[in-house]
Amino acid sequence: MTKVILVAHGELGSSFLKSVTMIAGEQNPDEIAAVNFSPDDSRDDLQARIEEILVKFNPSENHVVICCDLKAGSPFNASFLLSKKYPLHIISGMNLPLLLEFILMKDSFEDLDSLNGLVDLSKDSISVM
Amino acid sequence: MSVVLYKIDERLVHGQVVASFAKFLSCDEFIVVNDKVAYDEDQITLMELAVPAGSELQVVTCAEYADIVKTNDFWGKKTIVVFRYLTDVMKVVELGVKIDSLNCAGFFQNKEKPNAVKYNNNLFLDDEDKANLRKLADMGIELYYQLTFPMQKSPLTSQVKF
Repeated sequence: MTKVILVAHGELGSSFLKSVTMIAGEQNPDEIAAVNFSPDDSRDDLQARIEEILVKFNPSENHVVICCDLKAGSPFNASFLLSKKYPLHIISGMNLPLLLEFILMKDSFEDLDSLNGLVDLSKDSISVM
Repeated sequence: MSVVLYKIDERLVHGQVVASFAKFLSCDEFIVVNDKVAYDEDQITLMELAVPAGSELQVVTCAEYADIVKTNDFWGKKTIVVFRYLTDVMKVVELGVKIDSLNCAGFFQNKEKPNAVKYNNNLFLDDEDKANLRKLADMGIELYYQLTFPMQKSPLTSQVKF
């Protein structure tokens, strides 16, 4: 099974999750969760909170993907350091089209290639009219 | 070749440093100084991802930084130097490096400093920090607080008495 953790600056992670729910319906908290990052959190606190959910999602049995807002930002960095300890994939620069596609199709996203396809699709979703 | 900013930042080279300071100061080199980080491949990988394309990055020990200054071995024209901890500044100063001013907005909550007092989200200081800050101030180093670039500099003493 594929499980998703949204990690971003401020309350963006849980806000994304709310918006996803609004469009794609109620989500199972055992499959998708958000971790927020407030300005007075230390990196250790942030990493510990992500790890807590990660362990619950059991990355040795399940395919866990962490979606972050910004490459090399603290949420990404904490996730990167956890990826040295647990098997997981990280996507940076998440947007709502990416999350919706991912959540609707997530059990067919099992490998890195399919995640790359997902990222291409989310890049294509950005346009100027 | 000149150092345009000395900053303490336990988060090292991250968003505020890259997006704000580096842009406004048009810097083209980052040097990170900490004895442990200099050998931490994961942290170095993360900072390589964080620095803007075309900028240089050196991650060095305190002794290596003193050598860089001595031999003028900077790789860029305008350099931002980030110390992880205040103890790194103390070591570098003891090795003879001259620092005119130091931006102190980057002491975060840290499990290695359980007795640190919170002055704001970016200033968690314990007694040892305050004693070291006093030493630096006595040497004539300007200690100031500036979180992001458009924000005005203020003397560190406006945030905390030490």
